[in-house]
Amino acid sequence: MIRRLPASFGYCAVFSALCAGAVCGLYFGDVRLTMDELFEMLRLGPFGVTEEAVKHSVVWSLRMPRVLAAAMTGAVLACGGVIFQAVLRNPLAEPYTLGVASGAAFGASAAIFFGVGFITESAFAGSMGALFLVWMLGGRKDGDISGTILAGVIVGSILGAALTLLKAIAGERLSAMVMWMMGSFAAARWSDVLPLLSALSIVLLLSGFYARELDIMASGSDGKTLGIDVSRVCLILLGGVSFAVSLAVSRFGVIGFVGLVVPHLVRMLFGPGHRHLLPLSIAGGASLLCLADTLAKGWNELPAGVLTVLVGGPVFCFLLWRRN
Amino acid sequence: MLSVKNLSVALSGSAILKDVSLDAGSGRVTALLGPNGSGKSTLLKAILGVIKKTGGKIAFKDTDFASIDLKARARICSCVHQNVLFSSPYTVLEYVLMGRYPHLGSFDYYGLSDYRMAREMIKRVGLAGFEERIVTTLSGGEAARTAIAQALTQDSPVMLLDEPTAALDPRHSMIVSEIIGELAAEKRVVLMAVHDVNMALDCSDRLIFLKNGAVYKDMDSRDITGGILRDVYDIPWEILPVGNDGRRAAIPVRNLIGLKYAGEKTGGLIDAH
Repeated sequence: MIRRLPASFGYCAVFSALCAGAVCGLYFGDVRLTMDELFEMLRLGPFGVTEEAVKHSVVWSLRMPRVLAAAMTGAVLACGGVIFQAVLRNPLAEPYTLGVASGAAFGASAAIFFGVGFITESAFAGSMGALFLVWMLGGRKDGDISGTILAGVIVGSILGAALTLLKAIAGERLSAMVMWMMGSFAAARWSDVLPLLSALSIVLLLSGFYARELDIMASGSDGKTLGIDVSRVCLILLGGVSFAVSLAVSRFGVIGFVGLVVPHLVRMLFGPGHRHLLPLSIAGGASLLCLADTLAKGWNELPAGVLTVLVGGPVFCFLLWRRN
Repeated sequence: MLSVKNLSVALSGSAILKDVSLDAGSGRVTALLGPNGSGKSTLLKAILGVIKKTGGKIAFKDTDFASIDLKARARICSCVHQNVLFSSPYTVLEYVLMGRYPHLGSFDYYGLSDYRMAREMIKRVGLAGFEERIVTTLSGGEAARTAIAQALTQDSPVMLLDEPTAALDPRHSMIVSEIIGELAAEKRVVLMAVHDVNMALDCSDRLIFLKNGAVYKDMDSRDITGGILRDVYDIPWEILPVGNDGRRAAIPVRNLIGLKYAGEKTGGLIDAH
């Protein structure tokens, strides 16, 4: 017999956590606000006029895009993790498996090293280049994805080595590279929200359309026997998620843990069925990164990537211990 | 009727199936037999569309499989695979329910009738009460029956089985044999690849022997002789009567010298007949 929590409880919990995370993200910061002031600013909207122009600007121009960026990045990474783990039938898979994070890190570091600016663009080009290389090296027409995973690991390793080389000779630029790679939402602006919205739309569409196929692939059933064109579905899912994740990591750096552990956490509590696993992970990833970023902000702008592990890690360990 | 005409399959450049033709009729159980590597599983995979054929035609009634997509093919053909692999902790009910996937529209989700059918099939394979069990905790026999229940839930007129009783004890093998008989009685085409000659004799109407990727013999199961089995498997066999109802059992006779060296020491196998 199974002991799973009801999905309705999960929806209440994750959406409450998301609301709490968003409110905390908007409330806490260097400029102090009362809760009444915050809700007044929210009521006024982004184009409202008030005597408290500074506070209005802090809420709507700085904190709101930051909260949205953290939430959407968390959602994209968690959803990407669910999809990768199902398609690759590997609990250790994460959205960075096909080398997009290494590519983004290399692209951003190269831009910092050569001082050319365009860090986001270079990171995105790096991640797309890595993905293209992986597909060229490991993509097979018969739908066998083991070659693709191997190519992802190899390309990731090569880019990792190249990145180490860059860091070794970076001199005073090293700290900028390291800070970028740790991931942070401190510089998030409204201009980042649109690409992230596209990334979120991609993963939401994929989750809405392919939940049943993901169940079949994750269960161990033979997808082709049940009528799934496995190679086409894999290509769409892995390619789509990698592209969406590239849009996120190229802006805010490599944020680990969310894509790997949030899906496991949700699966452990609410079961492996993708009909609920996907939306719960999306909301779970969004709330975790929102809370982690709020903590990061209050902790002298520590990288959010470090805090996601510090916030989510102990919870995961506790659940693992309880389950065993 | 499922009809396979001049089917050829090559993997990595080497021919696995050569010009295989067979017809499997509705309401009958057809068993595919042959030594390891003879192409039984490959034939089933080619019918399912899991591997591509290099030549020939596969059709059910008037439907040429080349003209329909995988989902339409899955509504015609279901399959119980040899190795059942569970890689996620779904419940038995959730796993069996996935058999309804080929019948869903692009944006549909499993409905009440799908759940009802899944529960019915779980009961049919003797797993009533297991609906909420996690599949990764099942024994080999329970896992095999869960896979059979998923294929039954697919509700297809053609059912392919690849070693359906390989992981089962005699009692559960007999239950599966009975289910296979029921499937044929429901006017389905049942085509199963088996190594267990006695299971094939027990529950099939027709035997098709494959050897080296080609049909070696296509015959009524009542006409089986030790000589045919010896020719197919290269070991001596005896066919013995069982009970008083005409059933027979096939027993491979072990050569006392040992199979591995028999050819070297005697210049050939000892014939038990």
